[in-house]
Amino acid sequence: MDTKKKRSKRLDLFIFRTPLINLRKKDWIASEQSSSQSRLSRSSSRALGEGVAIQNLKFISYFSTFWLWVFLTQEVQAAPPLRFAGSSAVFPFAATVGEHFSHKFREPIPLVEAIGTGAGIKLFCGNLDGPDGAMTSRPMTKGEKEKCQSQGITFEEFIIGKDGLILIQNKRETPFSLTLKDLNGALAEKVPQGEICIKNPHKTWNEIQKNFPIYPIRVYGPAPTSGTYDVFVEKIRGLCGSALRHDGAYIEAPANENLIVQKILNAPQTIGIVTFSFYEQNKTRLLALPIDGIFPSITSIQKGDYPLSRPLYVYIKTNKMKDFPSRAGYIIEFTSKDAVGEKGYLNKKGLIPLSSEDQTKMRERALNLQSGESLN
Amino acid sequence: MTSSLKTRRRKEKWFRRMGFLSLCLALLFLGGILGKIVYTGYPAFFRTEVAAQAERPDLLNVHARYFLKENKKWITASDDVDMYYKHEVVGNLTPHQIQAIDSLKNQGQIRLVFNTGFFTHSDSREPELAGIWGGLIGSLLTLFVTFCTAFPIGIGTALYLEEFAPKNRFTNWVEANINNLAAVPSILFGLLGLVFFIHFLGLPRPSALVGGLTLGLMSLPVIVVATRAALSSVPPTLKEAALGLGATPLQVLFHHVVPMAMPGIMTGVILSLARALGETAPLLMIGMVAFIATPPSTFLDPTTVLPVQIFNWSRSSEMGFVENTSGAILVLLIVLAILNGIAIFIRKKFES
Repeated sequence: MDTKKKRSKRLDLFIFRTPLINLRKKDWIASEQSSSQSRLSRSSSRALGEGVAIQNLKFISYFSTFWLWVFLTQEVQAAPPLRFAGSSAVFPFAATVGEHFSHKFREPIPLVEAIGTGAGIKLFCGNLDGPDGAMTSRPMTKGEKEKCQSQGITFEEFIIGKDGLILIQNKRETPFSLTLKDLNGALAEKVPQGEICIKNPHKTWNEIQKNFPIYPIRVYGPAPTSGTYDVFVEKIRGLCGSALRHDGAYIEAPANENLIVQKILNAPQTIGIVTFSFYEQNKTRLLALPIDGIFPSITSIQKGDYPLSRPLYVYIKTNKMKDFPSRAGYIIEFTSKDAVGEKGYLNKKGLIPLSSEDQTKMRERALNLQSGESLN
Repeated sequence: MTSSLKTRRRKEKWFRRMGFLSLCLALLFLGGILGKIVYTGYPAFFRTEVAAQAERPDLLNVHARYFLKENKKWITASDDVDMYYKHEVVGNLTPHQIQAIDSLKNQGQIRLVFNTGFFTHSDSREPELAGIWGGLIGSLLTLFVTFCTAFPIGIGTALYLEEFAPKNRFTNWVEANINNLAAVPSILFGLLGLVFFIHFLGLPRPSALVGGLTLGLMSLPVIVVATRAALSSVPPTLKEAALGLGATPLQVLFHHVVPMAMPGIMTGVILSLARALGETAPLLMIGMVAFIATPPSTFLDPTTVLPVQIFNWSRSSEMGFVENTSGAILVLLIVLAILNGIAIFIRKKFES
């Protein structure tokens, strides 16, 4: 409401400007006529100068007409599409479901922003008119939930599937099996030695385990702004804190996993950390390292045997469900067998489906959302 | 004497050689980048189609024969098939599917055609269906808003500062700040746009209006600096002559100085707009990095721009998006070349 007031003020400004110019223009024509009679008088040159100024005012009025048009068209808007914001790990899935949802139910295609888990939740909880849903690669924290509630926002949580963090290597290298403890030894900033914590001294892999290869520790992984990083750090957490080392052994790749894949393909003796979909797309050229002796695969991640796996979440606003029937429709599509089932279209995009019991649970939750809407 | 001449000649020869070498090096880099982009990007302009055979054409309506060629309709294949047909990449295809594709190939039921969808479709998560139309329209709308903000304000500021403003400490300070602003990293303008246009004015988040205003702020100092340079290059004798003949300062400005400076002004404006067209960083801050699959129809609709779409595609895991990314870069380069061409044309026109 506040912005509307401002807008109308601005409109007045534009409306008053146009007749002003016309008025002056008449003056100008009159003065020019008089000036033609006394060409050398001082007043004529003044009038001409004004004429030029008025021509420029006309020029300005073109631009102001444009702005007028912009602010008038603001009112003419079709029903806005659903909006989602959050993790870039969930982004491709949410966008894909959005397209299918749109084609199936003839709804506008939802707008999906990949801005990171934290920023997404902030937007979601910041304002009742904010995004309709948040996509996260970790569950919402207690503080975030409280912030949401303080804004009067009610929401429902959905786990849409699982994702794995895969340690990849070039196919030419010899693979070796790591444990989470080895990873902590290789990548943590501080490692325990006896009773105390010391700065990580490991330079090559064989310093951690004798049978590991001799090449230096170089790991390309996600940057600290991503939820993927949070999950990875939490999983390999040791006794001496969760910070990763900054001496060049762990190299942060900015939010583009294709770059990590390219790097691994071109640089020998390096390891990369990517999400499952990127490994899946480049399976023919890459090698996955087993963690704790378990190779990443759809079944091992689904069952939770593979240690570096995590669930992916979507949160949907449930305020005034009656006014937003497409919210329920969207999440019903998201939890359908078509999308997240064993042979669903999201599986092709690299999402690992939940176990069938969990899938039905999520499906029921989504359907309840719709039936709850009819009760309100 | 002769020996000094010799050394001077040798120096000149060396200087020329070094210049030629650096030119060659620059061309080599340019050629390398362009070659790589064209090489990876040109397959994006073609798509694979599979024929869907009409089983009983005699049952269809009479006019159907004009839409069906040899009783078949060509339908775009999936991205896996596309990749296999173009580059022999197996990907997620099963051996059974590969066999099917090979047999279709032998029967002539699969073909490669020009990918018109790449230019007429908007963004999609499926690389075979994704196109640049939405991004292109968004870019043009955003650029239009940028032009409408930066051009009048920038030119006005430059004219005032160059011709009317008194030379004192305050204007010196303003001048220094404008020059500094021209070199500020563009992402800071994104932050400014986020705080002012979105949080303070409450304008809709990923819209061409906010994007254009932010880019307008970004290109404003560049336009001011370029315009001032163009204005100051107009010979002062011309101004003095006009003043001496009794013209007012405003007449001098608009009848003589501005027309003389116009080529320089237009070049500055169009070059800064070209920079705004290729900018992503400030748009990241104001939420234009989104999946928006419907092209905008007004300035307040959710909008994405071409560079942001390229950025989004480059982050996708599907192999098909690699060539789409390069293809979109090619289109962006062509648009930029056209803009620069217009700049040269306008300059030539005003000069003559």
